[in-house]
Amino acid sequence: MSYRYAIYCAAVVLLFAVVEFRGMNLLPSSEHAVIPSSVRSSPGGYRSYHFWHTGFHGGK
Amino acid sequence: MAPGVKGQCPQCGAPLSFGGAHSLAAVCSYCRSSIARKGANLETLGKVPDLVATDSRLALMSSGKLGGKAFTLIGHVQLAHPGGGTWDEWYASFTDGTWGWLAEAQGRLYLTRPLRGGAPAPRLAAIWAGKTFPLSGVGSVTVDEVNEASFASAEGELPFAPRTGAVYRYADCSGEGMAVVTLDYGEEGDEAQVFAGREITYAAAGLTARAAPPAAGKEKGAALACPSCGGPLSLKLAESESCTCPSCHSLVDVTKGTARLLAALKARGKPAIPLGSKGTLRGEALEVIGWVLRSVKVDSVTYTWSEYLLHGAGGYRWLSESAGHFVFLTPISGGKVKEVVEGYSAFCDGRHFKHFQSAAARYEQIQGEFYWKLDVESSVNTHDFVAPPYLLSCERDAREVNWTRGVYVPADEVWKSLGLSGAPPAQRGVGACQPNPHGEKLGRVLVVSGLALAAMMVIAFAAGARPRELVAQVNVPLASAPVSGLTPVTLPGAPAPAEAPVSSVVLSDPFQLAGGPQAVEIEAAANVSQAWVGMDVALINDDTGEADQVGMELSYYSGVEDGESWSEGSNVGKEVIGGVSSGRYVLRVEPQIEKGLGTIGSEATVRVYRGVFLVPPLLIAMLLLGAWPLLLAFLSSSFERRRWEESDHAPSSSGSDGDGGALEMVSSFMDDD
Repeated sequence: MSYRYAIYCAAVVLLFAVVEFRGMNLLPSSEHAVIPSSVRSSPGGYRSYHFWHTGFHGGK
Repeated sequence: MAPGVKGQCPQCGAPLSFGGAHSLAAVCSYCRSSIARKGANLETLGKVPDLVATDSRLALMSSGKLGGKAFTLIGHVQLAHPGGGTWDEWYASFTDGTWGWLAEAQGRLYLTRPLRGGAPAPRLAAIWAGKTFPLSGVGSVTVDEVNEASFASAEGELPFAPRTGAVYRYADCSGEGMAVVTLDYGEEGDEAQVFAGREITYAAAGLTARAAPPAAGKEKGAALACPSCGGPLSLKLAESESCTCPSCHSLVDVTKGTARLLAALKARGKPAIPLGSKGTLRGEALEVIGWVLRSVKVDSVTYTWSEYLLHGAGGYRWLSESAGHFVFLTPISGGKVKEVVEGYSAFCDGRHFKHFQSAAARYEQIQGEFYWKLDVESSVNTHDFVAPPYLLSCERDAREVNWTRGVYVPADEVWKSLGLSGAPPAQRGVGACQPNPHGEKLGRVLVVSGLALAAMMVIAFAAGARPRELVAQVNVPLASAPVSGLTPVTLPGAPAPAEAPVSSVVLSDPFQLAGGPQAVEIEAAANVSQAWVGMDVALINDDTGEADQVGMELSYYSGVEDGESWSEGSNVGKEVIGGVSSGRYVLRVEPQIEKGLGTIGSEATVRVYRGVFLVPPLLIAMLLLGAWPLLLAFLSSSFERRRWEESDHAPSSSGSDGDGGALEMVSSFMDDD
């Protein structure tokens, strides 16, 4: 039995279980940001806060 | 004269014994006269030549037991093979009145007895070496040799009347297991007889085998001088039929107690394994007694390899060396080999062998002694079949088919077993029956990866079984959304506008997300036709301010072009945000649209789901698991391709030996066996 390969496989399976159950997206398409508390505490803060834009330019 | 009655030699008056019920003649041990029994009378047939020195390990009046029946060796005949050499057959008389022949040849022992009630032997003209046919009472048999033997000498009683100079026609066959059959066609005009039996061992026959008589060999060698240079010829075995002179390197025929020059060999190479080397190889105590360098010519290219003849208690063995690859070969009967399809396959000992190579082999160099008369000018057709680490080799001429079965032996093992100094020859390429190291590993790795894959599937099933739960939904009016092209776009590095357009931004009510960290899926849907809707969706943790934003596009276009209808896009879009912690969240959606001549519904719906199964980790894990077996499969395939490049069945596209060299190094990392 290939001992090292068995360890490698066990590690892959363990990693898969962790990633799957913790919901870790390995191919993220989202942008992460932290919104200052001042924005959160102000009325309409989320609405007026400048978020990153995807840069969509429309369809056909 | 009745069986068991003793008489007197008509020639010299010495006592004669006819102890066997089937004895028809006896050789006087005093005057060497052959005496035939004719009823109550004895008739002198003539003088019998002296016995030839052989390596027989039996003696007259030896007794043994087979199948619960005791027997005594009451007669002995020596027959000369047309190719040179003499073999011994012993007339065994059983206590139940039956009889048989015990034949010794090349260290092996065979018992055959007259086949009663079986079908008659096929016509001699209808059989040939290599033919397989059914024989009643025995089964399927294969003809190993069709030949003639001449009477050489005899002693004791015989079940036939010997005649000096007589030539007996025979066919040796072999069948399932250790079955052997001799079709004895006798002299011209004789009725054919069938003898059937099997290969046995001295111990199984209850015979106390004498050790191979070294004295006989020494005497034979000492008595012979090289016909070319006069130097002494020293033979290790009395049954050797040809040898090379250690002084002038002539090839000498030593079959009949005299030395006759066969050929003056020019080249004198040096075998990698010195003659006389001794050791225990694969459990057999052996001595190297001969070496031949053989060659085949394929497409005007000459390929050479070495064959070492070894001798031990079990008879002869061969050690073949080609490009540093060694194969240990044992002679086997042709009956063991089944379903031989020329140039394709053979079946032996439960293994399927693939045809590897056929060629006409010649001798390039010769040293030592051999149990047959070497003909340096002749060539013999060789056919090799492989089932690594095993090899099946067939050498065939018009009269004889010889099979050997071999196993690959690492060079280091050969060197260690034979106590050789220095390093073995450097290996080149892949040996014909060299075990595929990657193939062996691949089998084990597939087992491990299969178990890992099964475990992963269980985990994936458990993860996938979690319920998909809608945790938030927001309806986004599209009528007030900015039209694409008017929306400010922040390019990387560009200064952000002071304030984003706010009129179209939609916020959801705060909602609770439990059970994190986890992946959530954002699903957006809108009724779109010939138009486009873009949405920047942010999932904001209202407690910490952590926000993840994804861009989603909904578009659907269709039409007809060149009479073919087409469509692209979708009214639904999905994105996954991973590692979302538990907490209170707000969904922020900022849409924009491009309507053109198309239609867009009044609003879009954005939903947030939890209990999402992530496919990418599964695919990545499967890729990681499969990478190693795939690498090994590639290396194994490359190894096999290099093996078969040297065969008659070379792959059409050839590559260099260096293929996969770097990958081999990678492979060695995991090689912990």
